[in-house]
Amino acid sequence: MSQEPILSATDLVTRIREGQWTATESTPRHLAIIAQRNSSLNAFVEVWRDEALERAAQLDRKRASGATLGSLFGVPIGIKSNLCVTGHVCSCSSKMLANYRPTYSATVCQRLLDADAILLGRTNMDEYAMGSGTEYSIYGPTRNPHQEVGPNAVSGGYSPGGSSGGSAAAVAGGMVPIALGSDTGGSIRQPAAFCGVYGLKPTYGRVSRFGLVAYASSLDQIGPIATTPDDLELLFQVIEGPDRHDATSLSRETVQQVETKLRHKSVEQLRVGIIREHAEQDLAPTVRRALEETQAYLKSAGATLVEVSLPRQAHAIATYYLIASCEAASNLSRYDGMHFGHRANVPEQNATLEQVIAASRGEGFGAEVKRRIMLGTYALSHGYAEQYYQQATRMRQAIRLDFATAFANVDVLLGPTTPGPAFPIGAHRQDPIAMYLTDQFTVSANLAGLPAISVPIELGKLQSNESRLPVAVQFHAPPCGESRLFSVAKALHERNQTAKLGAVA
Amino acid sequence: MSDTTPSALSVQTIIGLEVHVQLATQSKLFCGCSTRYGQPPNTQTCPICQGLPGTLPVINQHAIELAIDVGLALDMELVSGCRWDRKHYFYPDLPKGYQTSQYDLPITRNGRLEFRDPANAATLLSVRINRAHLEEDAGKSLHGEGVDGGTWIDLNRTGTPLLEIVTEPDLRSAQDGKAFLQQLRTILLYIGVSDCNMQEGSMRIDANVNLRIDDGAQSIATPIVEIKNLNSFRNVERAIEFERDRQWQHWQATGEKLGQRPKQTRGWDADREVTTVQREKEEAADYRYFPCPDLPPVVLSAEQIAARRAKLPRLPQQWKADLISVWKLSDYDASVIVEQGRDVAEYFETVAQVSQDGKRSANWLTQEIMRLLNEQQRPISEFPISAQQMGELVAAVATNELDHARAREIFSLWLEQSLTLAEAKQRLGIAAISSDEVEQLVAEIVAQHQAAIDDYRQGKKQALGPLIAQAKKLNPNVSPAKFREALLRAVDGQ
Ligand SMILES: [Zn+2]
Repeated sequence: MSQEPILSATDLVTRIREGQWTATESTPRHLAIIAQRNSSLNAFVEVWRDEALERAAQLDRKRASGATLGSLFGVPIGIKSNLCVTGHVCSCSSKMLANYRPTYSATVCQRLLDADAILLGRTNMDEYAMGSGTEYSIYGPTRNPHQEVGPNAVSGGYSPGGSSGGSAAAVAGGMVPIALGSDTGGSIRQPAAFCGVYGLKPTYGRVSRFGLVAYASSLDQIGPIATTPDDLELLFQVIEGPDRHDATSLSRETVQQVETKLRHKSVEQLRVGIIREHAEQDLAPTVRRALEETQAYLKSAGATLVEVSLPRQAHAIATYYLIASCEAASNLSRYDGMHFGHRANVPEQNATLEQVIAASRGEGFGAEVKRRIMLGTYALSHGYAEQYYQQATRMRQAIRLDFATAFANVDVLLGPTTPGPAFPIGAHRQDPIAMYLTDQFTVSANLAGLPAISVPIELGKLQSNESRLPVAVQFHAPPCGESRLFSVAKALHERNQTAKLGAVA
Repeated sequence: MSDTTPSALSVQTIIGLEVHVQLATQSKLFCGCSTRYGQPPNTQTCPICQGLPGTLPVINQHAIELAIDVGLALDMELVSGCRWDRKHYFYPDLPKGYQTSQYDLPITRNGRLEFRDPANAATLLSVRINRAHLEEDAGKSLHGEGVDGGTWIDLNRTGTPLLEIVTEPDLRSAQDGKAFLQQLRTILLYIGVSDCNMQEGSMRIDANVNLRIDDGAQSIATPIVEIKNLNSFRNVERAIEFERDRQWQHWQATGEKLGQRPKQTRGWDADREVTTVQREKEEAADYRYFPCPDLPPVVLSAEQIAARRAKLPRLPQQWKADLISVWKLSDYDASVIVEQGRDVAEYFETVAQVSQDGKRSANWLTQEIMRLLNEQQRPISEFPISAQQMGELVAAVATNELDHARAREIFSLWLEQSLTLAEAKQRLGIAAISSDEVEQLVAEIVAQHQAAIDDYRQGKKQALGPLIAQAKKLNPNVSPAKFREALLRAVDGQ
């Protein structure tokens, strides 16, 4: 078995269910790959080895007993460090929560367990999910499993993107077939693009946020990362669905009503909107090629391509950073060192309450988190809220409207996921704005609450000076249109397999 | 104050109240924890009300229903689509670093409440209610009780649903304020939305006070002061009176007007009977209100409102009108009963229904029962005689089956022992008496007291009184009225 290639989750479940493999056989394989690769990738920040092995044995006994088996039976999975699992540290890669152990589990983690998955450990991320490189972490940066060779190679390696860079690198590095990330402005899709894997940001409300440490509540969604669209869908099916613990989760009826309206369409029936404002941006050559090759493929498959406009796209980044920072400033108010999390070692007799709180927050939060808290606090303060927060809220409505207008005429929207491939680790350390701009194509889906997917694209023959790093395209669908995204991704996955064999020009 | 007021000046106290009422829900506003009072610290908490990272609030529908009830009772507009906002400040007893409240879209607004003018019972005063909004309570800081005199935090109260009822500045005296609060409390108790228990903090009051001074030529307002966290009606009254006098003296000394000084927050020191500065609004926190992204707006459907209206208990005004029209009570008696609360009014209604005698029922209730309950400081729910039994007793008096004295004997016995009316009568030797027995008794008395009868015949009408008492002594079961009738027949007929 050790000679076998790493399997997708879908194939792994089939093998174990059919008795060709056991969970006790397959789990150590993944642990071995982690042991081998994690010291260089730093994708996992904690591996729950003993617990995973014990659970694998338990699952094998369950199978032997003839019980009904869950849809992720025996599949090892990585969990982003901002999802709560009872008894395990949930640090958000922050000093603030370095030793914090929740007393309850996130709804998504419980659903994974109910589906008989094996939680293998937690993955690295940017502190409190604020960042696009998985560099702002108390555990140090995660490395992209993909390296440049030849003239483009850099010594420090490439960023896996962020903030779910640990999960994307773990999947791309073959440590786990699937992982969970969270996406507030592109934190699943951008690392998926950088690491050459699939990533989905679901419709706002389709996946419960209960147990996800909040960054920006009206934008946050948990979503899957996988090496195939089938796995992506499999994991999505397990985690989605209403939750009475999350008042913003969509009811089954609402989802069904909308899904019924969005009739299923095969690729040749699809009307694909090409987002003019995205295509007009300054894109890296390989990203532009990915976009062109995708268009050419869809056209050849019989789809209709239509140019569409999202006129307010230029304002998306500013709108996003205002709203996200305001919500973050509010959500992160609870870290005052009083009830949980880091508390500064200030002698209490000599300090006021304000001083203890300020010192705890000052020591516990990193620079990027502080930057966003300050921005959000300023934008919500008396006399400025109208100018900043309210204005951003109105722009968000306008952006939502732009999408609704576009979807009146097309079924999905196509554009790049990121302006370029992965950047070298540390490239944006001195320039947060440059880093924010790597999110320019992803934030709109969060502002509008839409589902969006990042699909890796295998390019045809590359010039010798062209980057070998993965590139991707992004599709947006109307609310609850995830199934459309899966079917486009499946078609492109097939095309990728052909491209790998050199059959695509 | 009057001695220092020049006659040309008219001075009015302008008062607006903010009343925080704890709603009578079983569980907290955003989680399933119990709201029971007086439990050991931190035993009624969960990850949600502890504010643990990743937790989310889910609204308690019962709190929404109770807020609707208050809106209906105070004649308010109910706001469908009302929102939740976060009010940010750092304090150890606020684990999330913000309080979830309602800022610019409260669940209900624009109402009014009428109450009797304490200076003139015949007049009704009316106060406009600006709004009533829902919010979660904070925890409790136990200062000086921690290790080395430090502070401990109890989160049992955190997340308890509160309704903050805010009046317009329509009140003009401390006494009006107190009367308004009493009427508000009566209404809230009648509709059952809160136990309004002030000792347990279920009703807490902030008072906004300033003066309007008019010298005939111009009207001047003094800076507004907010007195925080008053926990009894007496304290409200005293604090407003103190503040009125303090502001008058301050104005005389400084001439300071509204707008020349920021709004000041003061606390009431009940021991020293003074208000003291807590903070000036300048140094007050900027709460950075913003809509809570975790909670969708609350949609109130017409059906939901209609259903609550149909279930809304009778309001005190309606009870009073019913007592007057159905049971023919005086305005005074009806008010006394209604103001005692719904339990007492319901008790009365049962007694009256069983006895079919409203006036007698009211007399027993206000004179006997209320007196005992007041003496013992107990609620009517703990009174040993049920309304049904009481009704039977009053009925027996109303039909002359018992005289008042014998009824009181039964009443006293019932306070001690749980017996039926028949058992009590037997125990006390109360039996029906035949007209033959009455005639016999008359004959006996007439024979023994000829002198008194002669006096009567010579015009001394009151001479028969002692004879009735004498008969009662010979046979306690004899009805004084029936005996008197028979005696007169015997004496006048001779
Ligand atoms: Zn709770």
